[in-house]
Amino acid sequence: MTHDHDDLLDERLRRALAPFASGDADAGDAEIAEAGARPRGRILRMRMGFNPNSSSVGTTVVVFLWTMIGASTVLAATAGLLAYRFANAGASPDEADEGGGGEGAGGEEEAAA
Amino acid sequence: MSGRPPRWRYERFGGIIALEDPPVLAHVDRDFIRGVGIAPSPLWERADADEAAGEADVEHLSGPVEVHLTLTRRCPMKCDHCYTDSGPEATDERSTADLRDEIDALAEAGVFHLAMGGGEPLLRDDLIEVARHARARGVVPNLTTTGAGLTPAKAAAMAGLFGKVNLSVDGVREGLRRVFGEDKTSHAERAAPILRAAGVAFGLNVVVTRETFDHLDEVVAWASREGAEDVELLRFKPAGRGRDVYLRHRLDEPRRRALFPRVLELMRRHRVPLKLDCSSAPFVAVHAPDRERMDQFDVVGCIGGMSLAGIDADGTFSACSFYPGRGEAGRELPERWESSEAFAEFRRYTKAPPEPCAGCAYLETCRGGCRAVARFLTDSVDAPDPECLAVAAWHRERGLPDLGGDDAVARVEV
Repeated sequence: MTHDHDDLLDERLRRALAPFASGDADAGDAEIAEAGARPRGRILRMRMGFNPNSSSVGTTVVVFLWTMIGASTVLAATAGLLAYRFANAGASPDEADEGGGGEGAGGEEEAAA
Repeated sequence: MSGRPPRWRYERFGGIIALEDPPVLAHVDRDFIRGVGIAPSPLWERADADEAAGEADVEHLSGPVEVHLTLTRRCPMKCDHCYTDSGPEATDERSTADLRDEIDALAEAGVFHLAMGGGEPLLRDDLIEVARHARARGVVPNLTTTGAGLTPAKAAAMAGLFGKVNLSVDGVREGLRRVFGEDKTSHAERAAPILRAAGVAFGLNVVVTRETFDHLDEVVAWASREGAEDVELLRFKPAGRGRDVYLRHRLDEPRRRALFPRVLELMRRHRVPLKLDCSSAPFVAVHAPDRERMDQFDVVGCIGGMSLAGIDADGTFSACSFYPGRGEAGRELPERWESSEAFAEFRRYTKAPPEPCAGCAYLETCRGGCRAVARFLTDSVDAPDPECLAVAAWHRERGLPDLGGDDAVARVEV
């Protein structure tokens, strides 16, 4: 990643995003990034981490320590990661209902929706 | 690199995609959904038709993203500020079967995350069974606990089961440990190494009061030493027994103003991520941060009834754990999501907000602050949060009572 507060980003997220953040990819990562393709569309909003709190929902405010470039990098890299995960999910869709939704590559179940 | 497959569901704007490792929940547009191979949704057609008819004013999601489950009100401790009024004598508790039914209903509705708490949820013998059931239904369980009663065996069972576990503490120094009558910190100090050894990701919860605010530095330093993933700072709310002591312990105006800068400073100093809860949005907005950044990374105000709901220990749902529901059963939450007044009264705030929220640039982001605080201090869920600094200033300019001030009194019966 490319900003000053990388260490304040969830370690799993930082590791996962690295191949999709321009300038960070090593040879192996570049292959993964390529497999992640170029996602169409965009992320409108993202929440990082889990919320264990049973009363309130907390959001990390580390985002305010990032530069504009840093924030854009995280969003773009996350889009790449999501596209990659769908492309490589290979899982059969689970029980999607009429409202839509599921797990894995999705798709087939929605034809019936 | 592949990890668990993403989970997703449709929304009017496109959809929501959830990853577990790394933990990410992303709202994406329709192009993105199509781009990853998911077919267009009939929901989009309905949304477009609504828009064409001028009826597209829907802000809430198609169902909750997250639900807070109060598993029990039993607790070995009886803290003065407990929002669920929990204690050793509490008895009301749903059966395992009831919880499984609720979880089934929530999973069907596309809920991604559960936040389980109490009371002390570790007192339930079926905690692991219930969490495993959530997992089996594709919902990630998370847990808040004091750590009282945690054993290495229990922690081992938690590993890989809960997305995250948070330990509740008030303060590290001697004078703060019992600020609310019970020493939760001692339990957390014992539990943190057990969780770490078991490989359970954990963080801390701290209720921010005028007492704890002054010593957050020590808590965050301790969190850093213990390997906590983050520290979540929770605004004190007037709920449960907390109503009785709210005015005495809530943040005063200087501390409300100082909260956000202090949080940024603590993160820089201790290199630990800090979280603020949704009720703290007014204290962020008053510093005029980049609104787009707030929206993009979900640093937003009240989301009760928008993407969040709570189910109380008695099995009834509400828009927020700090706000009373209407006696409707938790298992009916999905079918009541669109129609229940419990949600409607939270959703309507931004439609016709009173001043000064009506003229505030952060209205859509902050959503008028905390509804539970507003109701407690004004007896109206439709009032601006009186503890917002902009609201307080607006009131002072007009000679109106400053309900965020030290001489304020509660307007609802405590």
